[in-house]
Amino acid sequence: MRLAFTAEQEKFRSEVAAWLDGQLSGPYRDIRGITSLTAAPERRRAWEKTLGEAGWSAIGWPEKYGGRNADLAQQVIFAEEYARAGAPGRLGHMGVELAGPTILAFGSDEQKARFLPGISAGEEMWCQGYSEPGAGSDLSNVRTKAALQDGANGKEWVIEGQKIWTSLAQFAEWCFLVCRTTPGSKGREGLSYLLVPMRQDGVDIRPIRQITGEADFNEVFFDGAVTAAGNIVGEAGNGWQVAMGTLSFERGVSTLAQQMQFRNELNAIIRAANENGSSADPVIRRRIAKSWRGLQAMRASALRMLSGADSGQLSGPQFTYKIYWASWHRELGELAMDVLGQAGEVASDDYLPGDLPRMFLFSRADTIYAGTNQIQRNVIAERALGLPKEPRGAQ
Amino acid sequence: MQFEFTEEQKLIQQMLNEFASEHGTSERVRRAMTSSPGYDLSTWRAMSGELGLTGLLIDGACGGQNLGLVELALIFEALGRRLIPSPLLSSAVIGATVIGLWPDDRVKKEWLPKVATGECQVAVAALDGDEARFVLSAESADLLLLVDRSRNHSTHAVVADGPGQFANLEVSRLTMMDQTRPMSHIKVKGGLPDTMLAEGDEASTAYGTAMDFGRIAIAAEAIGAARECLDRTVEYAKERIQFGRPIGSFQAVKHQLADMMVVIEAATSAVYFAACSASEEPEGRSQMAALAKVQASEALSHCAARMIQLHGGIGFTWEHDAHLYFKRARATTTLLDSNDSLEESIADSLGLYPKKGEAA
Repeated sequence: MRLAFTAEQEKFRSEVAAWLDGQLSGPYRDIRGITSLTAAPERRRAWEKTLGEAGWSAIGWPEKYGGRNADLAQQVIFAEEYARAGAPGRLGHMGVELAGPTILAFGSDEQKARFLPGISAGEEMWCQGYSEPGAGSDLSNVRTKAALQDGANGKEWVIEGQKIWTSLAQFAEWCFLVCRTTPGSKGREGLSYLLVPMRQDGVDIRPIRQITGEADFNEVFFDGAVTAAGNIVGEAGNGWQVAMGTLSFERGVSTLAQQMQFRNELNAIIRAANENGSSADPVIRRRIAKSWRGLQAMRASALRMLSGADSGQLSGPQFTYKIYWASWHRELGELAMDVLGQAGEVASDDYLPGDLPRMFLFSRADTIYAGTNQIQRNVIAERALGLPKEPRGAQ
Repeated sequence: MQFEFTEEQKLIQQMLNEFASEHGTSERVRRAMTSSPGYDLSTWRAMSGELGLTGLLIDGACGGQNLGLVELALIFEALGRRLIPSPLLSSAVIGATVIGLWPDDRVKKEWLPKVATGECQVAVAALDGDEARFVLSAESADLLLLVDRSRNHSTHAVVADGPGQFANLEVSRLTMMDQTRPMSHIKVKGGLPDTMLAEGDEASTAYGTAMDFGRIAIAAEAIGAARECLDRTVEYAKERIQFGRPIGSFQAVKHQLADMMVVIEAATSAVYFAACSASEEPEGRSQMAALAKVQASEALSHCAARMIQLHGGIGFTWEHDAHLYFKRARATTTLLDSNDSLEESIADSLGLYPKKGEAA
């Protein structure tokens, strides 16, 4: 066990830091420090392309698909420097962190050649088509259907149904979609994992204004939308396994970037506390110290998860990481507001909250999306601790 | 950067787990904790003899194993699982560190080889005025290091006439709520002995480092103990039937068990990380030791309390081991500085102003 970086790794760090600073104090200084998921989308799209051209978009991928074959240490370093530089949130993260790794793991060679370069080049954005009005925690209750039909360019999937809570769908070229392809099937059987173009007549995207006043999430209606017969990952009917594979990538290196964003938030809270004097309040001091401890525990847990990722078995933190960070972040939001006091409750004239108040509001979603805290506890209890499974109602 | 145990570390882990299962049965622990030295002599002999744990931090030149803090954490985690009472923390971690950091080679050569074999047990007492309160394992100590807090941690060594018998010192064993860690009060009668071992910055550094290593050790014990609380409670929740089903099938129970695992995993990560980081970067050592101690002690408090609740009435009895863990949790909160004061030191280290004790 060793935490220190080698001289070569530190050289890599300098290279990353220099490149990021050059861009973000130069052509991209206007989007430095942006944390909103929806702000300045065109500029952030350009940023994705610039990352891609310089080979910094998907560094963990194989070189032939636009990556750098970066090892864990390099990915840790990149995530640290990306956050330290105040680089904006990644518009392309669904592609780089979820769609891409899924295609790498389960896709055909043709799919890899077709989709991976577009993702790593920052040219094609992705969104995730999982949740439905009737399939939230019970994801296997998906009703959106697809059937193979003859189309103008040969066989194609024709899709009918509705997805909801689709993050960044308004900016996406593609969607990875879980839908039912075996008519009459139920639960996890009969599902398929399709790759569907978003810019077509059969796809209708309606943003959902959320608690922060912004619209990161959308409803997406599929009404005769089509995709080529070959745009299915895995076999027809095997979509559940592929979809679960994608979810496992949420516990991957993307956690590192997220943690760095958390660190920036905690630093902002410390600055605010020093500025308004609440840093002298013993209760606030302890809560900040506690938050810092949680952040260190998360960093260590992420390193444990990622170092052991090759063993194939889920280690402890892989089960507990999601509920831990989500609950931690929700508390961080409350701490931020207690530090800011009433000043933190002032919104702009168009009702856009500041960064920390937005985080306070948005963090209420953290314990809901990607498996609610309640579902996480069931999964931990049943899969990690071997306790009896929840009874299921008739489907 | 590699955050995985080496093969050698895995071997230590496995060896210690086997040792703890054998020596840490409920009967043996209970017998040891109420015995006069407060620990099991044959367990201590095995620790110091075959396993060489008494020399874990001691330099090879002085007959020790010269292991690192990650190994220390693995060892104490295994011992903590079963709450095995022993003078290892006092002698091999705190005492050996204080002596090992003293620049005078003669002192090291005189004492460390004996500490490494377990022949000599060291206790370290923090003196305020003429009194040292809550001194670990003093009653069985052969060498007592008196660290005078009011005089810049100047350190005096007193050699025992027999275990726990020191001229001019009154050692009174305390009956503690947590019986697994023997503690005494010490009173100095008629002036400090003139055997000054260290003074000034060197003494402060040695004592501070020893406290930090001690915090990492008790943090590791706490995560071991917390995991034992979880394992035993999960086992019980699978067996205990009420309303015609195992109580572990109720979400009210299941979710509490899941929450126990969540805090344990976080604390475990923090302890390994702190141990590794504290050995690599001495500047951040105190902050890391505070992190490990507070995180792990909170995890144990959480888990031990739930262990009692989820066992129902049986968890409240003397016969069941739950109370041993619950009491150990309480004692870990206050040992080697309270969680509150360590949390304050973390706040200081994060650049929150004004620092504790400074004017606004």
